[in-house]
Amino acid sequence: MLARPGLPDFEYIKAETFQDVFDWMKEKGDDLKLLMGGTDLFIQMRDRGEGPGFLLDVKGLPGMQEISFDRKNGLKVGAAATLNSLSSHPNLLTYYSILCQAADTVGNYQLRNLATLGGNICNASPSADMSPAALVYDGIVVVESPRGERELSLDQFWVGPGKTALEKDEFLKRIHFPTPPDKAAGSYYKLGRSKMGDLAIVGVAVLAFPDPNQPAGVQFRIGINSTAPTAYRVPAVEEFLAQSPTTDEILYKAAEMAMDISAPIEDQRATAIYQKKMVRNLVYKGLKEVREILK
Amino acid sequence: MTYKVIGKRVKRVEDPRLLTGGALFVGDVNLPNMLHAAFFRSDYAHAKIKSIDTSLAKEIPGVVGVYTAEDMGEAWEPGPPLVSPPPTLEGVVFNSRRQVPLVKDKVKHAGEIIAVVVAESRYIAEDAVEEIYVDYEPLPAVTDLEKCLEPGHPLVHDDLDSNLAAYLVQNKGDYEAAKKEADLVLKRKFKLDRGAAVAMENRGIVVDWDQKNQHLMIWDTTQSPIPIRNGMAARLGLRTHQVRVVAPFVGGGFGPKIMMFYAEEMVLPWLTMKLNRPVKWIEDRKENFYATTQEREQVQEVEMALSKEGRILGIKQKIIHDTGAFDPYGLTTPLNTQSHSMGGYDVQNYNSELFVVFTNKIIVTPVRGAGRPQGIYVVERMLDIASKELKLDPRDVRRLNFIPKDAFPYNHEIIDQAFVELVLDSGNYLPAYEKALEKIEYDKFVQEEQPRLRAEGKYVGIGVVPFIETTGVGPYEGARVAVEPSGKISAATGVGTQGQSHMTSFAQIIAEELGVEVEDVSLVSGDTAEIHWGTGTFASRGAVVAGNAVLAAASDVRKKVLKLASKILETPEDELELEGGLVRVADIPEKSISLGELAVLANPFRGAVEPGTEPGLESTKYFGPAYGATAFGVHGMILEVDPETMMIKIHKYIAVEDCGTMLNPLVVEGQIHGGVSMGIGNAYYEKLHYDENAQLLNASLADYLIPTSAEMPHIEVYHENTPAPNNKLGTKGVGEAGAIPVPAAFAQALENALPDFNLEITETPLSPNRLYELLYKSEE
Repeated sequence: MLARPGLPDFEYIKAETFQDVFDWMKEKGDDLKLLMGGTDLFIQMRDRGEGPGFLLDVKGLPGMQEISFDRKNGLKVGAAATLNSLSSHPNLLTYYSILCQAADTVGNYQLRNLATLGGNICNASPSADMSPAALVYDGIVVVESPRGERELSLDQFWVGPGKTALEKDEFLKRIHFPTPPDKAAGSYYKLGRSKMGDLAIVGVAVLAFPDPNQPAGVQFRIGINSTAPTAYRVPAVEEFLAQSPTTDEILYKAAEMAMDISAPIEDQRATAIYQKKMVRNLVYKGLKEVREILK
Repeated sequence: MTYKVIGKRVKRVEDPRLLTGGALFVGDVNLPNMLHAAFFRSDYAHAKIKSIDTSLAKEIPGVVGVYTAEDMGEAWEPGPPLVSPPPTLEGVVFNSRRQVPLVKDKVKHAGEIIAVVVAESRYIAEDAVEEIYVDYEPLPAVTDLEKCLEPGHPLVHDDLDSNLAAYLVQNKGDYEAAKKEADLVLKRKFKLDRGAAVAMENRGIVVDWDQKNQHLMIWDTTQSPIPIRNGMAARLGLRTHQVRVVAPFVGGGFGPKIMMFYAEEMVLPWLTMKLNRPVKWIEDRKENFYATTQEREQVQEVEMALSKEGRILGIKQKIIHDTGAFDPYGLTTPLNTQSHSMGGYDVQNYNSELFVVFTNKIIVTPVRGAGRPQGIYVVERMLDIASKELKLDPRDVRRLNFIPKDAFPYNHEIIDQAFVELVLDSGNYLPAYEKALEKIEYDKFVQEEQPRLRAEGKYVGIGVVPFIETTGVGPYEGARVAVEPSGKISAATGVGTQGQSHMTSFAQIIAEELGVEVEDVSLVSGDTAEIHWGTGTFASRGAVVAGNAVLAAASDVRKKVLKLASKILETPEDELELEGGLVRVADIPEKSISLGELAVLANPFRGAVEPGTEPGLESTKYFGPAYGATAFGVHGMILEVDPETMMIKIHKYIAVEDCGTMLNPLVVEGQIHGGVSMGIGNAYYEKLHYDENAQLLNASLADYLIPTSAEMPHIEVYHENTPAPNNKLGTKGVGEAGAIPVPAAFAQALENALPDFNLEITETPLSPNRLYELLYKSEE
């Protein structure tokens, strides 16, 4: 604990092509990590005092920082696009507002000039701020390897705290968000103790849109972080909401269901019971808020 | 008294240097041939050391040496006791156990130093620390204040019968008799938790032994360079003139940088003398959490007897105060708690039983507020609870109990931190309290705003809390003031500067006396080469004790100036005035001589200095008050609680302060702002989480949150002025004031905001999480 090991030695390599990445990954195996913004990686390396011998900077690869949007294909975000580039993007503000909102809650402005969406997702922290919003926009990760591209949904991608479904020769290239349904309304709440820099005690994103095929006439999506081994959607709650008129009672019932699904661990930052109650209260608050917007 | 310069909103003369990176901090000191130290600190809070293996560390290239307690030999001795023995009250127990440079046999808190590595760079030193192996026998940790005195409990210090560090009883009047007369006797238990001071600059020390000159130079982030110099000389067998301690600019003191003789401060001078090379160590943030002193943890049982009108008839109190693993700072902090447990109220009967206990936690010494917030917290909480029980307006209860203006000096008849009777020198409390109520618009808030917002579903509450602050305690401080041949003024004082604006406010005193511009005064603070005697910057005493020493020295120089000028201008002294760097004849302004010319004449090359006079226009004077000056203040806040998350937003914050004469209102207001931010931290954000093994769980700024500018409310500061009668300037201290009432005001405002919940707050700090738990408990 007390000897502060400091940042261990490593070699920095800048990848020029995708082939570079494949070659380095093959050659160095576990002794190499890909570097994006580094805002989590360097802290982990410093605090654990051990790390890979090689950091391969992939930010400069073609398309890695690109953000593109069209109504037909939706939003494509290069894995190394910074959070500040997301939150100020006009199309994002229009169509993916809570992604922007979530990006603005990460650390502080200076940090967000470095931190990337891909890094936040690959780090697979249960409390990652981008997760709830990415989940409700049905984010799909596009993974590259010598075998070509493959796509995974986020719940396939996150397999546990700090663990992803990436194979040894794969890396995250891009995140794809389909165009949200017409008239979609969103809300995002991050509960942190301070305005800057605190990790989320709970984060809740709610997205809703009119859907005449549902008994409720509306469909909800709910994404939650910090209260389970990975960030998660609550399909059972979403299904329940689609079946019933969106009265206060139903929304509260749904929030309680979400609370029961949540499984936070207790630590010095928050007790488990508080986090569970906050899941309920913030889901309820988010549901009511989007219901009002849709009215 | 009307002043021209004192009391003016003069901008800080030290700021341009600080803001442009031109100020020297200890971290900036880099010397040729300098070595760097890194420390091996214990992971365990309580463990026997079975063996230490430093052999691998010694082999690393660039490592000059690795040392343990054994290597120190005769030089190994604990730090000195820092304050006098406890007051001679009947039945006092005091077991002095001081911190050690390197642990010999048993570790008593996590972070204690077991070995030191000295190397050519800090990188190498830290790598070598990784190669030190210690075999421990872990022991159960002592953490629980209430259980640690039970028989059979594990002992922090094996040579003692129990974990009792100190015990004393203070008594005034006859509480038991008063209780019999009471209409209401309230009894409550309070839990006040630990926080850290979190100065932005961590500690650091650079030492340089010059063998040929037989001189030891020390740059140290200390609040008290002179006592450090004296103590170092004594420890090392040197004369005081062989040691010079400089505390350059220091980025925040807040108490923990007082003359602690921290382990690192004891080890490094020994190293430089052993190795004949300069050695540097700068604390990192994690070390700061484990090795720099902390404060505030107490459990209190308080009984208050009141009449049905709300008059306090008496207070009975039992305090268990955690001093951590050692008690180098004696009883200062808990005595302050006792001194403030009657607040600014006329309480005739008081009985307080104090238990100070050792635990395996980090050492406790004063942190801004220094025991006072705990005293104010319990008395104000008790009055709030009593007001509810008696169905009285909490404002009326305070109005009824304030010490009236004509009762000063008011003797509280107990012993305070200076070991003299707690005499409140002066005060005029009621008008300051009324002003605070008016400025925060109390009536309007409770009659109009609160009901309106409540109807909108918003939970808003108001808290207004008065408090006293004992300040300006002795023993003494000194100052040297001299007119240079250039006509500019040089000055020095022994109190170090950690942001208190000494270079400005003391310069204002000198400018006032000598008729020069503030910019023409250059003041050195915190360099033992500049002044020999002094104690330090702590206990809100700089403006009182050092300030009046500065005044005395400047006044003496003024006398010398007038005497010499009178002779030269052939004009009686009372017809002369000092203005614009000149001494001139009041009626004939063109007949004048500059201070510079006078300074040259006062130090002649030829002739002789007249018998009975001294060369130069210079004076060194000291000031020591018989007892302190007690300041007063009232803070009020309006806050909103989100009933769903218990997150809090402070909408309005006002402070009315009475620190007597203000040297510079900008500085006073800055102190209040800084203090309030620490107070808000204490009330809401900051709690050190120790587990049952006395391990600190949140030793980083990612987990231990401190309020930043983004969290701080706008603070309105208003002033009252009741000058202190026992010093010429009339100053009272204000450095700690801001932090003192905040947790009490916060608790009052929270209860006021949540009337439906039957909430009674008896602990601090209160995170949203904790508040939620309390509400659930009271809902059940």
